[in-house]
Amino acid sequence: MTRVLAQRLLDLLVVLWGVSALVFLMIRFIPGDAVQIMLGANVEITPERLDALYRKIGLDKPLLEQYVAWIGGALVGDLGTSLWTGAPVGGEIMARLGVTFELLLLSLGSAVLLAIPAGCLMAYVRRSAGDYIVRIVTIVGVTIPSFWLGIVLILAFYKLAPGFASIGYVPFTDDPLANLSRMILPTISLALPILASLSRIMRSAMLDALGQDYVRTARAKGVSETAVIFRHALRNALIPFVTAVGITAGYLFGGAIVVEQVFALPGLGRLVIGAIAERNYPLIQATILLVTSGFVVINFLVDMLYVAIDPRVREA
Amino acid sequence: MPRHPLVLVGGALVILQGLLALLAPWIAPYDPIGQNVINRLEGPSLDFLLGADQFGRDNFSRILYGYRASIGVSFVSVTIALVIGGSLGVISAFYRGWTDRLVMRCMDVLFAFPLILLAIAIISLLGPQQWTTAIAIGIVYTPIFARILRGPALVLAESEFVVSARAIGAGDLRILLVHILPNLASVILVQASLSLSTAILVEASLSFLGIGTQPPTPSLGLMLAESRSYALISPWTSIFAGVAILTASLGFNLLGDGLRDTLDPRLKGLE
Repeated sequence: MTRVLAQRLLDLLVVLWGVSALVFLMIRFIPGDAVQIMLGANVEITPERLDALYRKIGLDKPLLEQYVAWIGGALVGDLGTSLWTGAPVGGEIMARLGVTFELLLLSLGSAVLLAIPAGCLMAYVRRSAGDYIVRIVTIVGVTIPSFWLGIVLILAFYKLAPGFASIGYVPFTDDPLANLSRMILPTISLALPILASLSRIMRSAMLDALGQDYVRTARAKGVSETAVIFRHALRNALIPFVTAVGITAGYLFGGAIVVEQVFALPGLGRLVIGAIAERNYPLIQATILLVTSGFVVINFLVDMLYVAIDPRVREA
Repeated sequence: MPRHPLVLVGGALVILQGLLALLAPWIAPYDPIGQNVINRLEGPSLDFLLGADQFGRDNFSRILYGYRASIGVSFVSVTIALVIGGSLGVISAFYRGWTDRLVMRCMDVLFAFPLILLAIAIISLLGPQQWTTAIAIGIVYTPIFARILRGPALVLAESEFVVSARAIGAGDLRILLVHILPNLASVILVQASLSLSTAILVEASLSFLGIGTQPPTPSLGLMLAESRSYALISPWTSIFAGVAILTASLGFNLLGDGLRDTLDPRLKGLE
């Protein structure tokens, strides 16, 4: 157990270091003309101004020194300052984080809650005529572009319920009900493709578990079918499912960036897209570092959870 | 193999849409970027099969050219990922030891980034354009191919025919190309098909965000973004562009899923 933990922790640190190094190097790859664009359209480009900008982004020092300064700052919460507003980018990110986090939590939560029973049901109707239909429906579900689904939902609600406010954002603390009602359509758009893929994973994990020896033994002992499914098969099927949920979370974030754009939600996605338009590299850099490290750590915790609940790994 | 229903349906969709994309210049009834304000936001009719957009451009012609962009970019990106990622995965498995650890660690780092976020980062450096989108998606998919091919390559590298080939004096390159690569064909085919399916969605997302294909070049994601403001007046462009993205992605997904069933029974039903 301690060895597994130590190994995983080492893996985690290596990946985090790699991510930070890559995100750091990113700013070195900015093409020269982009640096000039960063100066702004209304400013005459002089060598002095370029030098000042290079100093501002910190490109004038040796590479290693830059990295140490940058990562040292990041570790104590200083992620740099926005090129345009001069404000700390950490603050700008934190202000937007809540929206994206709420959207991700609602979509992932509802997809997981529905995928477990749906997957079990799909495993159960296997080998009937319904099997192909189930497969095709789930594949169609996976390939639905969530941003398109969002647009279609907005159109449908406009025709069917013209009074329903489907676009925009109300902070939860201002009006919880208005906040949640505006989150319904974005959540459906994001959750549906994930639901399709997670329920497929649940289905195959469940089929795998139902085919194991311990299930046959349990049945032979005369354990009721409900107990076989819920006490024996489901608990084992949840192990690969939990891993899949961890990976899905990262994928979901990509979807959220696009869906935020559709529903005009002021989250991280809009922040990044805006930052690209104005070439605000410190902001892009900080967002990518923060979000990616967040997902790496979440996946690590999920992994650890898995070690904790699976006696085979725990005692290995 | 060809009897498998998913392969049939998926293959038919892929071939149909591939042909539409290839033959777009000959079958498109209108110039995809020719504007004609008189026809703006028209619904579907005999003249405009799928309606016209806010500039009076024919949706059907634009979707044909959009397929060209979407499928083209996805093909290039999956090829990049397959060649680079696939080689890295196979080399890792073949040489083991430090090579393996180093390469796979690098792949772990790339894989740690949320897919679209990494693509956005790369595009923010290279500038938003069609070819940069292809490179960005290619890099993002590289670790997927490295990981998927490493496993089976590990098994192959240990197999008797590889050991025998080495015994009679075959060099590394010969073993890799003649003995290992052909045996990976089915895994490559399945993964390439499934990756094309998601690459089409990623390309559409990036174009939708305005950082993929740039106007006036027709692209399915861009059509969806541009028509959004007019969707309440005339939803046709939005609806058909979305359906086109969905069917393009669906074809490759069904094909890949069916191929997996038929080519590798061991993978049956797995994700």
